[in-house]
Amino acid sequence: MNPKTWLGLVLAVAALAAPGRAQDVKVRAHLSSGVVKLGDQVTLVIAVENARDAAVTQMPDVEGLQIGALQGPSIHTTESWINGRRSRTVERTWAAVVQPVKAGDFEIPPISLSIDGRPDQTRPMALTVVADLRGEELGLFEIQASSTKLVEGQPFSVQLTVGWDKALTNVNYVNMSLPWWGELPGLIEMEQAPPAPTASLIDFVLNSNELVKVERLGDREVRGRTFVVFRLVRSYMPTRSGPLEFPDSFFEFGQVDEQRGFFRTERRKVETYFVQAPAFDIDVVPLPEAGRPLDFSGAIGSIGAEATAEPRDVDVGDSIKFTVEWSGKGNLEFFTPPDPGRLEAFDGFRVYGTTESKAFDRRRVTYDIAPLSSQVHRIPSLPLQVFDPELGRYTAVESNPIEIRVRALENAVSLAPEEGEAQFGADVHDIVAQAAPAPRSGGAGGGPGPRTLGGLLLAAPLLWLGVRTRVRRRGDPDAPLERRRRRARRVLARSLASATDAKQQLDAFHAFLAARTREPDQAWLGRDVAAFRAEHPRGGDLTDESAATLERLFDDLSRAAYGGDGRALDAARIERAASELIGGGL
Amino acid sequence: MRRAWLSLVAVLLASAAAWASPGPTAGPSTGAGADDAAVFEQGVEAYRAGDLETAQTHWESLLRADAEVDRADVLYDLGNVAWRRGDALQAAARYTACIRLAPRHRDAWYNLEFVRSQAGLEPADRGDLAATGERLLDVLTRDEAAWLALAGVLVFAGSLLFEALRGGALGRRLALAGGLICVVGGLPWAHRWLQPVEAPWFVVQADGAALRSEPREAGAVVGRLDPGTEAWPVDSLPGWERVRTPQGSQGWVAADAVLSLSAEPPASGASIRPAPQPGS
Repeated sequence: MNPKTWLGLVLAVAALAAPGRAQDVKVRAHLSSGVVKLGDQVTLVIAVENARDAAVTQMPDVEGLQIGALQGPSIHTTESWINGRRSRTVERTWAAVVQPVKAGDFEIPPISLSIDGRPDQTRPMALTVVADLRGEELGLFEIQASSTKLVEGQPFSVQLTVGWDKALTNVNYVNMSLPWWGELPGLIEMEQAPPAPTASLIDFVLNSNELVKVERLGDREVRGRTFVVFRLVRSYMPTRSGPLEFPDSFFEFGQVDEQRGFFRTERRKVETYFVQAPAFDIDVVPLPEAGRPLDFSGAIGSIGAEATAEPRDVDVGDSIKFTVEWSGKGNLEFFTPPDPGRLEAFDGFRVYGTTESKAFDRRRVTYDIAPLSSQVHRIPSLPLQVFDPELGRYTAVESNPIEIRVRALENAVSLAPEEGEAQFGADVHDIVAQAAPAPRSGGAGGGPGPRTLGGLLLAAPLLWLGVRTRVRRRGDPDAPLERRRRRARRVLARSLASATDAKQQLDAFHAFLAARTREPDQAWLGRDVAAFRAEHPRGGDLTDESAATLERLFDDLSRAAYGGDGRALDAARIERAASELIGGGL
Repeated sequence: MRRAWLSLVAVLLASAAAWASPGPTAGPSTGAGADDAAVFEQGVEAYRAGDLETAQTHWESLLRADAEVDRADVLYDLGNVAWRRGDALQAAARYTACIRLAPRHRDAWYNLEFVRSQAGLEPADRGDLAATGERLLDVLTRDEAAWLALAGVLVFAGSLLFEALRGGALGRRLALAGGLICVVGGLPWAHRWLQPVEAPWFVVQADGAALRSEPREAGAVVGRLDPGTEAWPVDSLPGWERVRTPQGSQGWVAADAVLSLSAEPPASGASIRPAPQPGS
């Protein structure tokens, strides 16, 4: 490839990569149709070409036209080669549905846009809306509210009646355009009554995007024509006061041509008619404060009550299923059922719990109650405080009382105080009416202080240590000889008590002396006291008087045992002598 | 030698008896002082006549330190006055103060639990193990607990003396038992001793008391004391009390929102506020 060829290729690539020439910015806006039937819709389209950035800044408000939310933008880019030049076009498109609500000539004012940071606007557009006189003649569309004035919380129903001339046999398309459907603030849709089993239900298109079942009614004569009539009923409850504004609604019916393709079915309107239902308001006022009972349940409407009980022949304390069913027109789903446990009339019962069920037209609450006494003969009426809008005041809806038979339990105590039995309240105990002397307080002179207690607690172990050391110098105080020495006096007393002659007394006394001197029992047989005192340093502790007493006693006992008739001496004398010896240092 | 030991024990017992015996200045009175008893009686008469304010004035005047009437009974009666005037919280404070002085005052316990339930407070005795243990430890007054502790120490000392003189297994067991008796007997005293001597404040304002960072109305609220809360005194200014909460934080509360649980007359700002009579 020679250099010229290379140069040509480079130039060609450069030409392809170069951006196209800048195009002029164009703003366009148009309606899908300049003339439309009242009830039909047109599409408003706004298109901006060749702008790097564009936005719709404000949509106009036109009385008589409802301009829906703007959808978009959708961006479409096209490129083309014209005389060797590349041309690139970018188009941004917005669309909105315009729904006329009244007939007349309308002008949609210029729509403000921001294009590449600069303000711009569309041209004004004209729209002619004509009433569909043919549709008004051939169609039927009525909307009726059950009441135009409500109190807050009062349910109401809206009934839509639609139809067309029975002579129109080729009607295969219907669409109800209800701009308020699901859009009104402060409104709760309530449970609907199920359709009758024999009712004929047909799907109608609603607001062009959903299906709703309507009930086929019998034909009806209107304005000299026979109409095929359908009905749709919905119930609502306002949750706040203020006006509820239902705007114009339209019913479209007619014939469409369906072209079934491979992927989808195309529908083309052949001929459709529109019939309008005018706008209407419902005024919602707050619940009156005057006369509102303290136990107001929140129930509003015309409500009736009916009570049943099962079983009705019971023993005291047996469970009774007491069922109250409230029905009628009212907010049956939303009120608070009364609590019998808080009512004086039910003092004869104990309430264990409740179960309840709700339906669109009734509220059923079953109370589990038990009679407390055989004196209870009926279940009293259960009042429900209700605001009746028809009467314009609060009223009590009472269930019917129910007779029951309660049998007393044999050998049982009633759960409730019997009639005439005193009932007592609780209160504080009475004052102290007698002045008592002041007890010694915890000041100086009260209980011992922490120093005293701490000192004693410290001194006790020290005392123990000192005494223990001193005592252990003489040996273990728990040694057998020491224990024998301590018991000697008691043993002597027992031996003397059982001794029958002087010999036994002498043996007992010898044993006593041996124990006291920590010697064997035979150590004192024939011992001379004086010699003992001389030989034994501990025995030397004996006083002279004690030694003399001991010698005399030995002599008397020896004479009585070995030299006399063997009769026992006076035991008390021996015990006195023993005590004297112990006191004398033995 | 034996006589010497016996003498030592006798000296110890005599010392204990000397401690236990009433002193010439601190002994129990033979009866309430005539003047104080008369004031007490006047309070009773006013109470019986329905003049609660006069009864309260008389009885509060008896809360001075040298009054010769039982201040626990005076506080108890003041609790009844507060209850009759519809102030359950102040009544609870009075009964609590009474029980601090006389822990076994059965009527005060009954009334305290009653008014606490009426005021929506949890029971003073919660009934769980910890509360029961604490109530057992508090069942004695401070003085009684000290005497019990002294008795325990003497029993311990006696058991040690026996062990020193006699020895053996019996002596050792007795010494161990004496030690246990000493510990158990000393528990109430130790429990009391570990508690602050000063009486706490009791929140008597029905909606609680704001805990402020500074003693002025514009002070930032750093916490809130629920009705019936006890908080310990830290400092005091006219119209304000600085307290330490059970959680440990400190702050200032308005003096009229709290009442001291001491046996002293109420704070200057504390007054009985009318409240709805509980339906009992």
